Amino acid sequence: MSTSRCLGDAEAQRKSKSLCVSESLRLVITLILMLVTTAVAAQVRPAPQAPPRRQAPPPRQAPPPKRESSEPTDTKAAAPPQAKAAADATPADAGAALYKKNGCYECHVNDAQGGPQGPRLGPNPIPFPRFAAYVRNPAGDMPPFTAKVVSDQDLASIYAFLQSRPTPPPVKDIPLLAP
Amino acid sequence: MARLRDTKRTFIQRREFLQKGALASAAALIGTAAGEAQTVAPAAPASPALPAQVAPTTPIMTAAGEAIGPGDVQVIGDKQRSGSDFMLDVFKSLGFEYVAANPGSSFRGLHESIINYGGNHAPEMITCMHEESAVAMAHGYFKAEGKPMLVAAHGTVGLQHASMALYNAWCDRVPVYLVIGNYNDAAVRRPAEWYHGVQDAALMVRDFTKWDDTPWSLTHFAESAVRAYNFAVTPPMAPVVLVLDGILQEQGVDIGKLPAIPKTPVPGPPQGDSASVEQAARMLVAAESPVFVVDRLARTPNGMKLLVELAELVGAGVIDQTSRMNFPTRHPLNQSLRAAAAVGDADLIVGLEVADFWASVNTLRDQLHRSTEPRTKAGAKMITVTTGDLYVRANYQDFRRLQDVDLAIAADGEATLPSLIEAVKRLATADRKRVFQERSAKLAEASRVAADRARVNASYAWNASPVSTARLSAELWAQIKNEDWSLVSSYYTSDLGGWPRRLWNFDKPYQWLGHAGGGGIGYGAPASVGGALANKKHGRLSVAIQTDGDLMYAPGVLWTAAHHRIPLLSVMNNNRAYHMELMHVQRMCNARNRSVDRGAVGSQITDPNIDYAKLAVSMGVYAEGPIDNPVDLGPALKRAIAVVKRGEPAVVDVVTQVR
Repeated sequence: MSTSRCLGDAEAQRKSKSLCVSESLRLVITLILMLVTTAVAAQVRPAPQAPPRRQAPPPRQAPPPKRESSEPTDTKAAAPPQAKAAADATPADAGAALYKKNGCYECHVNDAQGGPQGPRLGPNPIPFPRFAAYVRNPAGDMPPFTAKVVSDQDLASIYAFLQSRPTPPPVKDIPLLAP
Repeated sequence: MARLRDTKRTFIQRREFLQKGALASAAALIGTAAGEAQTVAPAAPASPALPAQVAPTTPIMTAAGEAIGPGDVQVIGDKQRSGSDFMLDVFKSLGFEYVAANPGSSFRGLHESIINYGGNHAPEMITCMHEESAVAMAHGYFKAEGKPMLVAAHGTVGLQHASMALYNAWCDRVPVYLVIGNYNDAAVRRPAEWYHGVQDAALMVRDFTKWDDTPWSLTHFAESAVRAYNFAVTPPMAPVVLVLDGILQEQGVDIGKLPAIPKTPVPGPPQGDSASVEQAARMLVAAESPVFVVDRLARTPNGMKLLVELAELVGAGVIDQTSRMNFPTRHPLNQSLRAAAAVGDADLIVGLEVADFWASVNTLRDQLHRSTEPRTKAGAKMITVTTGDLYVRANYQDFRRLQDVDLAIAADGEATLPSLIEAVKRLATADRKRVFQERSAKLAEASRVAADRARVNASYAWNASPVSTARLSAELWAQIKNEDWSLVSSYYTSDLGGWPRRLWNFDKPYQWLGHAGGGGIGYGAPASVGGALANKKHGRLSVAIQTDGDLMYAPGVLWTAAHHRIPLLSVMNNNRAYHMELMHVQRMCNARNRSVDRGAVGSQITDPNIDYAKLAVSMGVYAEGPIDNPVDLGPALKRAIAVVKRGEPAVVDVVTQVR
């Protein structure tokens, strides 16, 4: 059986404005690197859905969200909620699994680097309040993720995962990307 | 049908069975060749299905049977030709190099003519393992070679297999010349020919073919065969179907009574009328920020050359929607990497053979409640030049939404460019030429910034495993950039965001062959083999970025590539999913506010993972993989290219990130 499966270029472009959230099963090594600042944790995968072991505010102070008509007025979104404790998992560890589980990777790709259907999310994601507001009520083609399907706590973990994405080497240091 | 060994035991069993008369109908089929059969043949009327069901007996030749001379020997005489010999003469006159086919008895006459009378040369028989593969090969071949490939198939089951690929070709406005066999006369059909017999064979594909006919004589055939070819290759181009009657193929005709082969030349493509072209030129010269949006413009290698000339003449940006290789990717006026911004900035948008012009200038938001929004700024003017205005069918909806435009020219885009260029040259004043130059410089800078941004984007997840699609493209580019290469298929290169178009320097017409047209998955693998077949005689290095789901529709095409020594490097973009569908289901989960973690169910190709290297090797193709460490990719590609340069296909299975 053969069916039409492709989206047109225009649709792909529209989707490129979208943004979404969840967890990833792959790519764990660099998460621990980001938080512990050592290179020891390679090859270890976090237990899927392991709860965060400490509170999960964004490491960097986020500026106040730019008010947009699509943003919710609920000020609770301005800061990540308290996360559950866990013995050996960081918020980013949990976020990696949630990024995968909730399908964020489908458009924003495994490492949150972005693709034709969704922009790059990390490292250096947009401020958490804007991020959370957009996920709940996206302005573009991205499907909405309500608190019923992705909790505020999970959103915070996903945000920690996005922050933990490794910074790539400079383009000038990658010969294959020379013009 | 399984056959038993002719052991003593089975022989005895067979004799007993025959004595009971149970094989009456099977014996009837044996006819006068077997003595045993003669004794029971009248016992019962033949049932078409019965012989296959009761076939434990293989008729054997007996002394009694051999003693009976053939009563009605029928061999075509030396002064005769078979009907299909003449058909082949006509096909040869049309210049077909190849005929792709999965063999079928309804065109057995033509098949024999091709391999014996025609010496299996021009056209040469290409053995395919699925009719869909045969048609898709012809689709890819045309876009590399610029002329149609002949395809042969059964009139019923073969055409049913072929239909999706035929639909893709039709949507892509690519000519495929399909001949199908059918025994029109019910009185002479063998049992199986009833299943394969059909009253109106081409009916099932008539909605998405340009023309078909069922010739009843060789004169009728000759005229229809030439007419079908001319219809197929005259823009708007599309597939055609010719139904070849089995008896017409097989019967002999005195050489002196064979009809003449028509010499009617192919008509020229329709050009825009002079008044409309003049108006379009005036609008172009007067515009402050014109942009060309092009899709199926370049029918021939000259198409790219003409578009470059026109764009440079007026200093206009070009957005290549990639159904053809229309415009060099690194040309300073190429604005494809910033298409939305370029359309939004434009005060004049000129669509040249754009399949979906509405979607080029509007957006449709795919949410629960769909909404649309223009991409253009207020007052932007629009021109379209397309054969799409000359050819529309009612049933299949490939004509898209109707966009209000200021000038619509119903003509072939490429054929209209020379007169448009001349008109612009005539109308452009020195002042306007200065404006064009300044505009060109700004566009060149915007293009450079977009290209730099693309390289930065490619650096993210550079060392990730599975391999990022950007890394895959960069590694492949490093291996082929100094070769005379041709990217014959790449599903995601069809997308403006596809990495090869962002990172590679496409500047020759054959370096990109476009996509499926109708969005039917299963095009990529066979079309890449067809494109590689065309590239073979030109000595080009054919490469394909092959998606996993696409390959599994009909992977037997790998065997075809191996069997016919078709050099092609297929690099698997193996994301282990029907990923686009996966995203669609995810969207539904979200819209219904439930179980967003189950969006991947039913769309993943895992558990077990498919080993594409082993699959390829099983069909005689050199293969490596699966590779999920990017460091391993470059050396594997190098080894595979060495194989391809020896004239053989090769597969490198790369486990990739999802996009």
